[in-house]
Amino acid sequence: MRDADAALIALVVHDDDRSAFAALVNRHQVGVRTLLTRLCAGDRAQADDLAQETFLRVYRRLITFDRRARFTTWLYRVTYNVFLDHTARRRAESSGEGVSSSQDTPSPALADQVLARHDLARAFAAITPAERAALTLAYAAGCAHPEIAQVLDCPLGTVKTLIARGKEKLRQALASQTTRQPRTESMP
Amino acid sequence: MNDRDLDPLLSAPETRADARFTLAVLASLPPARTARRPAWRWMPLMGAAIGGLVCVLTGGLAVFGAAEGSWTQPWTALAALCGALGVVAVAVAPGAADA
Repeated sequence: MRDADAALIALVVHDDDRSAFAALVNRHQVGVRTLLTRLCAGDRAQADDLAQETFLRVYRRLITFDRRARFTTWLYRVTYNVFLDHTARRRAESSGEGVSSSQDTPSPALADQVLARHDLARAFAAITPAERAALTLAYAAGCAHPEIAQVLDCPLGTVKTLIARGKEKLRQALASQTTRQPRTESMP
Repeated sequence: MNDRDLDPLLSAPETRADARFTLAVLASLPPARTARRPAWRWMPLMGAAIGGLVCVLTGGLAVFGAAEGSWTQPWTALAALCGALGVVAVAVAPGAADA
């Protein structure tokens, strides 16, 4: 797996081989898009825009990648940074327009519109971006805790706390949805 | 909800690999760089090509010498050897440059 990534990276860096880069995108797009979909609390369109930005950034900075390191760790770190940059940009725009800047998640209207499709996506809106990232990296991407600590740039203990607290919040959010749902469905 | 119910939900990917996404990423990349071959990588090719050319010419001299009936002369034999080396050098030069 790592060898295949290393060979593709060498082709991209030395020969600007676009088909090798396409192969890298194919191999890792599910992980990146899953992480971003959850960071964006279910907003797939937003997640895909950021995923595209992530791969563009990866292409431009691939030459700086230390090949002794694990590629996925570096890739998820770039992904998380792209999301943080996007959040900071949005916050700056919101404060410029005089709108409340306390949004780490989509607005309730957008959340209702986009997230209603999926209970888990809705529940993810209730937890912090760092918790979303830690949970997604641990479960969907299968990263070990030390690797997650590198991606999120935080101590190992913090990762464990983020995962435990995030799971507890998700459990509560999902439980409250299941208790509310029958009433919603019985409405005319 | 317990861990047994929650863990599979968390482990499931949100998307599947999509060729259209890959194409969109490729379309957003900057224009391709022109072929950047380091100068040193041209040296085996250039050296072998020039050496090969010289050797083929001396090989030609050897054929000429043979036609004149001077096979016994050392320079004719040497030129024939150079010609043979020239053929080999030209044949392996592209491979040496790509190595």
